[in-house]
Amino acid sequence: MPVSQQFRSSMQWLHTWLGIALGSVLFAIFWMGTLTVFHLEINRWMMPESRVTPALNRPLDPIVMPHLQTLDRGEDTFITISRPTSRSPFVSVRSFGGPERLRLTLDPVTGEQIETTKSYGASGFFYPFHYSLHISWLGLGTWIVGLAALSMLVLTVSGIFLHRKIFADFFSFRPQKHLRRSLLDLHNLTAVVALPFHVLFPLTGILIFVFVYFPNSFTKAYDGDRAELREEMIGYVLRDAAGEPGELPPSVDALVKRAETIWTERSGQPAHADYIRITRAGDANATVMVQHTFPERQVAMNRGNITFDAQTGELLTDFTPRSAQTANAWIKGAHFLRIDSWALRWLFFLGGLAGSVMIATGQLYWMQARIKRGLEPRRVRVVRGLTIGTTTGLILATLAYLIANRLLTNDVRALGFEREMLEVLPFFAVWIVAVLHAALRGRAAWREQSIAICMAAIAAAVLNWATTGDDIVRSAMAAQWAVVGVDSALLVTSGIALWSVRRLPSVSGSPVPAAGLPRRTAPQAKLR
Amino acid sequence: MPSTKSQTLHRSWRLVLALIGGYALTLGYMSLVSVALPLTGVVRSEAAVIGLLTGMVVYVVVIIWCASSRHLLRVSLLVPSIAAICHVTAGALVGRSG
Amino acid sequence: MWFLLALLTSAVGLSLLALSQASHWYRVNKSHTRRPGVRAVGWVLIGASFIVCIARDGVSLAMLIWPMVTATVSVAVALLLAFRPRWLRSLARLLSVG
Repeated sequence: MPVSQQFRSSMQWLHTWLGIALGSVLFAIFWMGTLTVFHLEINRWMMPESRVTPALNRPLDPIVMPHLQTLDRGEDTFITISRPTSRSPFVSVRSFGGPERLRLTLDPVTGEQIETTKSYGASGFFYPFHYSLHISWLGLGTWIVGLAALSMLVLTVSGIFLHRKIFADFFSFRPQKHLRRSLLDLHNLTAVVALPFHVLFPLTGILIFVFVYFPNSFTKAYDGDRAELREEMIGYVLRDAAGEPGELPPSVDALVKRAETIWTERSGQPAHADYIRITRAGDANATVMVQHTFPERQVAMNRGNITFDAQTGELLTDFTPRSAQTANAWIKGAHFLRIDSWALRWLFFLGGLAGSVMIATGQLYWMQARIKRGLEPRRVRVVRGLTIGTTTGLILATLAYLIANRLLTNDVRALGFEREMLEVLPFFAVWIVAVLHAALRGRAAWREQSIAICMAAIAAAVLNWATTGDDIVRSAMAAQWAVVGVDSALLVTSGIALWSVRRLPSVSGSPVPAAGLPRRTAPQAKLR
Repeated sequence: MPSTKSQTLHRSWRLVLALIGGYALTLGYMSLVSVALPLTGVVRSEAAVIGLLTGMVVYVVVIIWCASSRHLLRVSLLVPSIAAICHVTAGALVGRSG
Repeated sequence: MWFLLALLTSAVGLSLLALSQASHWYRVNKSHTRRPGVRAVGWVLIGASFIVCIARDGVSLAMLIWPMVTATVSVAVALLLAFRPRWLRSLARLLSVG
């Protein structure tokens, strides 16, 4: 963009400073977000018991009511029931507060309790990593992710100002030129073509956690009245406890059906409730909230929220979002990506990979420019260790997590940890080793870690076959597309890693290539 | 371009001003929109979301402004002042819309 | 099928847009004499891919799918231009614009 020299130089340092300070964090967030696109599918790969054909829209009463009736309930017992979807096949019942807790995974047809693999899976590990980095102390992780998202927006805007020829260079990738040129080309290419993606995701990421990042500001008009705020903003009604014990609703299905009829009549399209929440389940003032959070055929989320009195079945509130809220729900729905569109899911997966390449090439470009200007070797070592360790190292760590999942059994205990944690430990161990390896081995680490990725990805796919008997062909015959998808992605990863290994020079005097897209020829004289 | 010590110091200050000053200004802006729009008849929940969505644009613009302004002293005074005015006005208006 | 059609129109459209730039044209055709109208046809096809997306998924979803289709195909075109420019030459000939 044509701007004054002074403005460009200010955008230059801003872009560099934020990019270098948060590049590694941003890469981790992008990588984990890319995996999270398919978190429910990876769950099914990691929890073989869930590889069943989903049964949708079955009655809930015979499945959940026996468990709810025997639950010891209090006035602060809150119950959440999630219905099965085409991507996650079981009924889940969770309760919080109160004298007794429920945590059930139930077969939607037989009502049988499913003993799933004791694993965090993708939803319990990659997903929280994406938004909190697993740093729960003072909510620091969420704030770091928020800062990274804000920086990503600023990086995108400053990047547009910095780019001299956005349209002329739109399709430019010149691998035959010198390394820094091709790194910059790749950085610009992946940034410019996916520009809407790079704005949408950090922006909506902040909006999803807005109650954390901007408390008591945009809701100032409510003047601290939390009950009114909850009711008007999200349609959540929580009545005060009556202090007398109350009954559960006789039928959850009847209330779900009433809510669905109201939504279908209003919008003219079939609507299926996905979450049912019972508040103050043991009290006379209990309510049942039926939610339409993730519609299958709409991008916008939070389409409806209807609250009934649990005792009388009387309709208390019927919440539908207004226009500005619908706009907000549309862009947030794009981030949550629960819409039933495989095309969009794969495209966003590719967008996430493009973002990861953009961040990695940006860091590498900076490093090469520094090396050219004569950065002292010790600092090169640190920066290189971080860059390699947070790119190929993170991919290796992810594979280690999947391999550990296939090797461990439910009853395993070691070092005082249960299976869930024993799957996570290899992730962090491999990650740390990868960073150290990169710092010690220098440029050769690219090649060596690519070899490791190639082998680990094959190993994970083979282990899935060995431990469950589901090879790709058998999974495809059984229409287990989630398993087929994860296995294929592993094999493709292995193939790309092998391709990189073959292109990467084996001698350590050669240049650093971009992750996954290395150079064929090496103008060695230019680089240290 | 060789970066001198004072240049690094100036840029660090710009970054602090952009992130923290910008945050204060964004909070103030969102509060003000949230209480001022309902006075013109907009529903409270809608005003909140409008403030939220436009507030994100405000934050990014303020960061770019702080980083690029030729007059560092001026932005150093203006950003906190605008933030303070927004907060005080929002505080005075809160509760009026009922 | 509709999705493949969207990909195809987008791919041809973006390839033509790339060919409308002098440097890419020369790399593909090894000739400086360019045919007019390449850019216009390119834009029309890119627009057509948006319409195909709308026909398939409705405006709300197409507003997400189409930019991502364009992004993915653009990267593919850039890689083709870098590694297999001859492939685009046959496309240019096929459309008798080469």
